[in-house]
Amino acid sequence: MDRIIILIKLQWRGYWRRVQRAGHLTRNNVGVLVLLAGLGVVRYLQLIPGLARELSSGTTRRYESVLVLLFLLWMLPVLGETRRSISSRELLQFPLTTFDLYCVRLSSIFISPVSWIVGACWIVLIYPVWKAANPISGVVALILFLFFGLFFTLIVSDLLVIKPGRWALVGVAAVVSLGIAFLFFAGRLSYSSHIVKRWLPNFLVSSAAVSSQAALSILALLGMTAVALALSVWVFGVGLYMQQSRRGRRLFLLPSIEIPGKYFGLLRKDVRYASRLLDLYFALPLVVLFNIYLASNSAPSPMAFWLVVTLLLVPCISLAFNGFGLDNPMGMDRYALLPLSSRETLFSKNLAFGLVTFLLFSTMLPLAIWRLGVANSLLGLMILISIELAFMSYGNWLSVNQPFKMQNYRFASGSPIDAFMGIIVGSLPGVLSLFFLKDGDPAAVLKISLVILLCLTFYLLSLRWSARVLERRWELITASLS
Amino acid sequence: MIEAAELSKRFGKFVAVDKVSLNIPRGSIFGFLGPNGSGKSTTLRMFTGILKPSSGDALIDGLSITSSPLEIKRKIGVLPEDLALFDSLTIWEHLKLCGPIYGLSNKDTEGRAQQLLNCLDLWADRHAYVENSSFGMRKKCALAMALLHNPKVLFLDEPFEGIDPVTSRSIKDLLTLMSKRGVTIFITSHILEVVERLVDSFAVIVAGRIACQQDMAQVTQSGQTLEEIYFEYIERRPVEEFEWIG
Repeated sequence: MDRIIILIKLQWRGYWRRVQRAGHLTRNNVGVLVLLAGLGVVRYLQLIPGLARELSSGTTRRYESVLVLLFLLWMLPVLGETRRSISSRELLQFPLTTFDLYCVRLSSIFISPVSWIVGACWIVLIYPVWKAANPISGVVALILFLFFGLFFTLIVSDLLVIKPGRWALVGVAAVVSLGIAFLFFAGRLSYSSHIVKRWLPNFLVSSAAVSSQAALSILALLGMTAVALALSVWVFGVGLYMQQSRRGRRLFLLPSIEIPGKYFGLLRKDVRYASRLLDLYFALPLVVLFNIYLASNSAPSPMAFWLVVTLLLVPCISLAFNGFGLDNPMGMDRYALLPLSSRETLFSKNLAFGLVTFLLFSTMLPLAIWRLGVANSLLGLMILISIELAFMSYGNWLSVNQPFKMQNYRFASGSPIDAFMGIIVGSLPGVLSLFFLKDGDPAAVLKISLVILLCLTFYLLSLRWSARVLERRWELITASLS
Repeated sequence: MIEAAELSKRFGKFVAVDKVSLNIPRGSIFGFLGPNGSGKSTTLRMFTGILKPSSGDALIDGLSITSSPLEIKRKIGVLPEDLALFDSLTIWEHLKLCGPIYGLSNKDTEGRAQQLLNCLDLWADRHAYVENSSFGMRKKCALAMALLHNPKVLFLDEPFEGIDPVTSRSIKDLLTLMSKRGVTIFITSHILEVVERLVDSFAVIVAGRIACQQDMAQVTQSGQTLEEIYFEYIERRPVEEFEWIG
């Protein structure tokens, strides 16, 4: 036990040293974030008395929704975690069992204050449960669900970092999607969802608090939690000893094509890095759903296409707003060694962002041309270019002033304030274009062209200015990526 | 070819490199020696543009490191301490990335890359990801990247550490050949025997200051070894009697 405690202590020390190194409360809007989190907690606390009243009268709908929300909130500290000070693989040299290492991994989650807040939100739920018909079984079920959520998130988190794990997740998602589609077309979705719902953990937790079958619910939850724990330990152990293949493989987004030009190698690298950021995968359902809409609707709307193009870039913002976030100090040293000016370095990052977003856009292009016509598709392309330029103009400034480390197969954990501001600024040309196109204005194309010109001017100014800052702050940026 | 004048680097109050002055002629191999943390790599990082000097300047092929860093980067090849490789690229992709940035055509890049990888015994592993490669393979990859564009000046930080004896010999032969063809080579190393046989001149840096600078010919004439000279400047700690060992 002592050896596990000493490792957790070191993780704790390493985490807080990194936090201290990051600076003070005004940096990266940390102060505003703390304030917003505080307001969120106050709003949550205001919700509790109402929940207590509902549970005492046997109504569980809102309680179940809160449980789902808390379940998803567990994902924040785990899937959005920044680098741990000591990774589990680095500890393999010590005489520790897989379970010891798992305990260190599990405890490390609680070093982050985000997990304290989420944990506190769980604990607060005991109050309304105490007012329910079965308070003790309700609290037991709640605690079991807390652990189930934690183990489940750990399974997902550990599966994401190993290649077979990622395929397994894709497989599960595909099977579930196909199952839902099959039930939908067979007209049995409503009936089946009713049966499935009864076995969902949040339903079991509420059932343990209010129904007469509390023991059965707790038993089911206990079984689920035990299975989740066992699976979590197993997946962790598999990942720990899994050797990555040495051989290179072709990238699905950018096959082994050779484009002439001095930026191609860097582009290939940046697109490969980008494909490891989870945020980007939020764009895929949007693209898939819109393609289904284009294929199945008898008269698809061009306005819907332009709106989707405007929204398409939102999941990709981390690439534009934190251009160096997926690099590490060694990579930054290579950039410093290459005969590239700061402006060229930033431009190569912008090209990669442009390429990733264009690849996403191009997945809709064939159907858009077929169903909406070439002219409407070209308008979509114009909107995309204007938004890209706006995102990059704002993003270059953020990339050099507020860089932060992003992890592979994790969500980018940057400042939501910056992201929010960036989305507003970046989407503005798209919104303007939609406004011009709304009433079929004949001069819309000209107006959109002017918007593009304006965005291009801003982009060139931003590139010039950000390059100067990059040159000045190179060592600081490199340090912030360690 | 390399002239440093009072080159210094400070990190806050800590002085990592203190007024280093050097003069290395074209086509020579120069050894830069010193204990860990003495300022060798920091000096090399300043020469190669990774770090900006706090004061002083250096000229490489007549170009100042403070005012013409880009022009210098086109002329030099560097094997840095941390190897500066990108995680998700293969060895081959690293070389393909470098060539066009230095203005090489695709054909030249591939031809030279193949020759270098063959020489460094890395051809069979060219499609291995660097993140999954051994330290030696990664070092060979970084070395191939440093040589690919035919640099006029070569900076090598610990080039023989972690390299197998056969490749080590190939690298030594390659460096000797390059030196004969007019390439200036700046090496930092802890392996004194290798440095002794390879370099034309050397300097020892201790606590950020140059403690000694000599030609290898002088050392040979005096009948001393490089190790003996090195220990004149570097304090050697006696091994204690660890009664708990064994």
